[in-house]
Parts: sequence; C-alpha cells; structure tokens
Amino acid sequence: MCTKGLKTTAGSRILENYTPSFDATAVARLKEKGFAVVGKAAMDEFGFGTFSVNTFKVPKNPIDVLRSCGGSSGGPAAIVAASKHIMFALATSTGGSISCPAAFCGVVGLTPTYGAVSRYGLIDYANSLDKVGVISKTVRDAAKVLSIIAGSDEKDSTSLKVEKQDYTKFCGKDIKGLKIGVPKEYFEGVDKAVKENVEAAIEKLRKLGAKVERISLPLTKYALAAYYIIAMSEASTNLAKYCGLRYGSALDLKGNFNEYFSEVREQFFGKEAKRRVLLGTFVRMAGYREQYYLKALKVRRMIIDEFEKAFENYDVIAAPTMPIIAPKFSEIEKLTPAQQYAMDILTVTPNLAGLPHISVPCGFVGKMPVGLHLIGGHLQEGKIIQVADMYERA
Amino acid sequence: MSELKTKIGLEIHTQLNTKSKLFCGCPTAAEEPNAATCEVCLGMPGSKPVVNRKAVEFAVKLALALNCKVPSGCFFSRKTYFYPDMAKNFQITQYEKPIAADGKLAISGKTIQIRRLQLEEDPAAIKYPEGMKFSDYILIDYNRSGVPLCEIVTEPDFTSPAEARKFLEVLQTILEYIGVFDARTGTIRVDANVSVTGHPRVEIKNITGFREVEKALAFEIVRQESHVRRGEASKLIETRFYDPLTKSTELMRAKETEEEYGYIFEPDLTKLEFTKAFVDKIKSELPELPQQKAARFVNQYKITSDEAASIVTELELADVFEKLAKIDAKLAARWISVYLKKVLNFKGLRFKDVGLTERELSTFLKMVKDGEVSQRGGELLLRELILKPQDPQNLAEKLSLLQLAESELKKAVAKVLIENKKAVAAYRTGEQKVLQFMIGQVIRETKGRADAKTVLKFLKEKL
Repeated sequence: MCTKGLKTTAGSRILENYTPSFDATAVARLKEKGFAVVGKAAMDEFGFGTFSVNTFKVPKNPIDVLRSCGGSSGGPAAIVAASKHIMFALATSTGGSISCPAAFCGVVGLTPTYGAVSRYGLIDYANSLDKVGVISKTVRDAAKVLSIIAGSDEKDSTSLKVEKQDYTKFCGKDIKGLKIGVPKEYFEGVDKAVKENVEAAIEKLRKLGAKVERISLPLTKYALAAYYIIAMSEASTNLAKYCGLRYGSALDLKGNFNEYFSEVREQFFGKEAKRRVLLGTFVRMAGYREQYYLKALKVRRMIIDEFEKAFENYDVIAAPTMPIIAPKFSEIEKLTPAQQYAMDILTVTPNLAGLPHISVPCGFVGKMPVGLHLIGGHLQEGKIIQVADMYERA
Repeated sequence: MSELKTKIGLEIHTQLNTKSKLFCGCPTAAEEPNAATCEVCLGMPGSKPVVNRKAVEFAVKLALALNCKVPSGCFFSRKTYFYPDMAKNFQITQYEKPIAADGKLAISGKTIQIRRLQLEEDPAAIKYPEGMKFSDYILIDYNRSGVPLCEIVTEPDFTSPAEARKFLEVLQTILEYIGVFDARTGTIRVDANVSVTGHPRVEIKNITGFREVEKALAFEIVRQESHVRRGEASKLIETRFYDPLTKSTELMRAKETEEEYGYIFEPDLTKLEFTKAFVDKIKSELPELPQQKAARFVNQYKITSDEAASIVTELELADVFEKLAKIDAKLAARWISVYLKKVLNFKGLRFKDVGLTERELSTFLKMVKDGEVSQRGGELLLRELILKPQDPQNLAEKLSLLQLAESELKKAVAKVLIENKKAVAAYRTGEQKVLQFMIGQVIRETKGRADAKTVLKFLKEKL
C-alpha cells in the first residue's frame, strides 16, 4: 500500500527500491486523524500466496518461528501479534489474505465489503477482488480503524457511496435472536482439531442467544477455480507495467525493448509471480477466454446470488477461517502450487463475492491459534463486528 | 485500369478536445514535454483511473451524429501488449461493450456503415531524435498519455482511396460542428485496412493526414495488384506503415494469426450507464449537421447543391454565409464557394484561422453587389483580404480597385462628350476610331477607376 516518501515494495524485488509519490487513501485518512506510519510489513509478492513465503524477506510466526504466519498479509498479522505497542496494521485481501494470517497468528482480521474502503494507492493484485482491511488485537480496534478508512473516494471509481459511520457502535450489542447460518461445505476437509474449536465457538454463540442453523452453499466447490482464474487474469495485466523503465528495479540498458524488459522481469519477479502471469495470460487468450475468464465471471455472479439468497434468512454465516493451523515451513515446502491454492478454499468464497468477513481467535490446537470466520452480507460490517465483538467478550 | 476489386475499411482515432485527460485531471496539452502528467497517466503502481464524464458525453454526441445505436451502457476493457509508449503496458479501451455501434454516414451519395465507436486512452508520444529509421534510442512524452481518443471503425465499404479521403473530410467537418475536435490542437490518426481481390488484408498503421491516407492506399493497392498478378501475394497478415517521404508503405510485421490482446474487463472501472434522459439531452444539444445544413441552404436560399456543399465544409463559413445571405444569397454563395474557397484551398488555410470578420466580408459583398469593384478587382481584393484582413473599402482605395458609381461614370462621359465636340462630330460621320480616343479620355477623367467595357457602353448610349 503506497506510503508517500516511504519505500513500498509489495513484497517484490521488482519494487525493492520503489518510493511512491503519494499516500494510499486509507493511509492518508489515518494520517489525517493523527496516526503515524511506524513501519512496513512483509507480505507475499503482490499478495500471491497463503504463507508469506513468496517474497524476499519471509516473516515468521511469533508463536512458533518454525511456522508460517500465513499470507499474504503475513507481516501485518505477525507484528500485531508480537508487538505490545502496535495495536493494528492495515492489510489487504484478495482471496483471504487478511483472515488467513489473522487466524494463524491469533489476532483479529477484518476484511470489509469490496468497495467499502478505497483501493486508491493499493498496489493491484486483482482489482475486482482487492480489499483494504485491518488486522488488530481486538474487534473494537478493527471497528474503530474501519470507521476512519471506510467511505467513498472519488479517486477510486469502484469505491461505494457509503455514509461514514462509527462501527464501534456495533460493539457490545447483544446478539440475541440473530440468525447464524453454518454451511456444511465449509467443514469438509477441515482438520479435526480445528473443527472442534470452531464448533465450540459456534456453540458459544448459540449460548449467547444467536439462532444457529446448518445450511448448504452448494456452489462453494466452484469458487476456488473461478477465483484463481479471475485473480490471475487481472494480476497478469497488472504486472505488465513492471518493465524496469521508469520505476522499480532496473538493469543496464541492453538490447531492444522486448529483450530488456524480459530480462528485468526474469530477474526480479519471483517464481509464483511468473506462474500467475503465465496462467493469467493463458486464460484470457483468444480461444480460451470464453471457457475460462468469461465463465469464471459468470460463476462469480452465481456465487454472489447464492450468498444473497442465504442472507435473506441469516444475519451472519459462521465457519472456520482456515482448514488447518499455521503450518511449518518444512511442511509448506512439500506442497504443490495446487495444494497451496487449495488452502484458500474457505476464505476465497466470501472474497470472490465481495462480502465483509472477520476472523476472530477461537481457541488453540496445541499452542497454535484457530480462527472463527464470520461472514456478512454486502455492507453488513456492523453485524459481523457485533457477533465477533460479543464472542470476544464472552 | 484495374479489374481487381478493392476493399478498404478505416479505423479512425480522433482526439477529443476535452480540457482534461480521459482518466485523470491532467490537462490534455502542455508546453514542456512530460509536464502534464500524474501518477495515473504515468501508470504508477497504486494509481487508479477515473472516467472523465465530458469525454463520455463527447463520444456519445459523436455516436449520435454518426447515426449510431447507443446502448444502455458501456464498459471499458484492458487491451494488453508491450510497447514503450504504453505507461501500463495495457491500454484502457473498449471491447465487448463499446460506447456505440451500427452507425452510418453518407458521402457523395454513398452510405458507409460504421461498425463501432469506442472511447480509449491515447498512449504517450514517441520521439525519434534521428528519425524513425536511424535513431538508436527514443524519447517518450507522456503529455499525450491518457488523452481521450474516440475510435471509429467502419465496415470495409470503400472501393477507392478517394472515397476514404472524402469520408475523413466529411467526418472532420462533423467533429468540428459538434465541437468535440479542434484541428489546431488535436490530431486524427488512421489505420487503414485494404485488400484487393486475391490478396490478404493489409493494415497500414497510424497514418496522419487525409491526403497521406489517400496516397498510402493508392500505393498499397498498386503494390498488392502487382503481387496478385505475379502470383506472389503474401499468405500472412501484414501490418505496414506509410512513409510520407518515400510515399510508400513498408512492412512492420507479418503474422499467420491476428494480434493477441488478451482482453479483460477493466476492473478499476464500473459500468457507465446511459439513461434515456442522458441520451435524449445530448441528442437535443446536437447542432444542425453539415448535410442537414446544406440541404436547408439549397431550399431556403435557392443556391446550388454544389455551392451549399462547399460552404458547409466549415461551420464558421456556413455561419458567415447565412449573415451575408441577407445582402444577396446567390451572390454570397458564389463568392464564398468559388472565390473565397479557391484562395483558402490554395493557401491551405481554414476560414476560422484567417480572422476575416463578418463585417469585413459583408462590406466586401456590398461593394461587389453595388459594382464598386469589378469582377477582377473583387477577386484581387478578396485575396488580399484573406491574406491580411482589414477594411475592404480602404484597401480597395489603396489598391485603386474602386469603380466609379454608374452616375459618376455617366457624368464623366457627358463631360467628355461636351469637351470633345469635334470627336463627337467625327464619330457621327462614321469615324469609329475616335471611340478609342473618347474611351481613353473618360478613363483619364475618372483617374482609371472605370473599365473600358462599361465606358464604351455608356458612350454608345449617349452618342
């Protein structure tokens, strides 16, 4: 996220020495309220990852340094978990990059509705999915920061015309009678110990007065594929601008334009960035874009519709944030790219649909934290904050 | 000469004369290179485009003027390709959902179909310090990056280079009438697709100037014909450029397939909705278009359709004609369409750039009408006025172009007759030669401000 006069790398060596000339809107709004930027945190290169290992400075989980802090906004979660003084960090999510590290590090991760917070100054991963949110120690702090950064911005055409409001007013409100749907698809393939913690958390919500019902969201199984197609299509166009000419890392000028930028990209993009450029370029090529890119857009629409229907009957949907606890780096090394992508299965669906969601810590497996995921309807940040805050207090 | 059929289609990129760029607040021009730039038009990481509503209005206005169907909304797309003039290595343009489609425009009795009309950003401008062929480096001026462009794509309805040129001229007139283009600050660049029977389509990229379009097409047709006749027609899809110096087209690239642009919807922008009220409002603001105006002129002022067609090529000229028509419509039409245009065309000038006022022109026309200047004197006077606009009366005096009023001339004739009684007597006895003498006397009397023919006429009457 661009910080004026302060190096902003997006976790990529291609931007290792890049200093933006302007502040992202979210950063500017915090500065206006007197907040100071104390540092920048590590992340997967351009947000491409689930474990913050796809970058040049890999952050470690403060609870167990042999484990990942999650990704792609791993740095922000790690630092909020580790520091006594840093109460919150801005983070971004495209397919779960706020919730995942929040769950792995045992902190709160709030991802607002797509468009609720301006993306101006956010270095693009996949523009139709990118969201700016908050990682914090408490739900109330997340709500407080959201109140400052949310609201329409004329510099971002996709920002929503939402009234400024104080989201902390949803904290401390009881949840009696609130209807919570628990989709069965979100428990398939989830580690047993994680599942037990989440079930216990849901039971607690019931005891707090919420009406809990089991539901089904059958389109969930298509979300991962649709998400990765859209995200990679957009990512591959966003990364085209990095060609070592006007900013970012450069080489001595040699060869013609094509030869020069190919060499720059070869040297400074990481492996995962290259993979996503290739896949993303493929799925939007003539002859393939119909069956991949355009179809994925249709699937997204259908998934949104399925959620909207669910939210006619339920205030909030509850699920585990991640199917596992933070894995060890040695375990991550053994995963294929497809297995890594599959870790996003639970977070990708609400992200694809642009729904607000929050991960709150809900117990431990050993010493490693587990996250409870609460998903709301579009612009229903208030409801997920209300439930998360009540859960946190109880 | 040629029995091979020619098919030509045009893709016309016209800059729209908005004050600011298409996706940011930067002005569309600046004196210093790279002065009119910001993070958006430089494609800096984190910047986002915001659509200039004025540019959208201009494009819809043009779509309506070209009889296009305007849909209920449009969407922008990303067209990806790497090129040094592209700030982001993708261009924000339109693909599936353009501003408008299915238009038509009549030129000299033939209707050209317009396939689509789309709004897009202009790339930056490349400067070749040593010319395109000899520079070993280039300079890039991002002032042009993000200037709004409207692309008009025609069907391949043209059968000759002259037709294509005519279309471009008519199109420019329309652009100027509706106020979305200014030739003094904006450019129109053309990609021309051409094929003769038996030859695959060739695209000639980025031609500036309508005369150049005509020449490039003419060259390309001859080139293709000779290849077809010798059985050497390329099987590949060629992209060529036109070199105005050699007046020939040269190969840029040849491929087996169309270029791959990997279009996706522009995810930083939302759908632009065109409500009926919005479209109706723009429609109601459309001025009378050149062809409508010409028809009205013929009808209302009883001038010929050729004269009308010539007058409406420039809005300012049409406007001044209507003012002058109050003096004498037919006379005004003739002087504007024939003599004024002749000088303008010869000098390569546009009327609005000359600075001749309506007042000066109406004074001039009255002088012609009242016979204060002769036909020849009038033509001379008009030429001088175009080159240096000023009061026609003073200029005519300075150049001794004023003719005497009829009454003055008659007085002079009478005076000469009285003063030359001998000559009169001689004439009456049949000596024709003295006429020449008397004409000379009258011209001297009028200090040369009478022409011999009129003097002779009056002399004969009196004698």
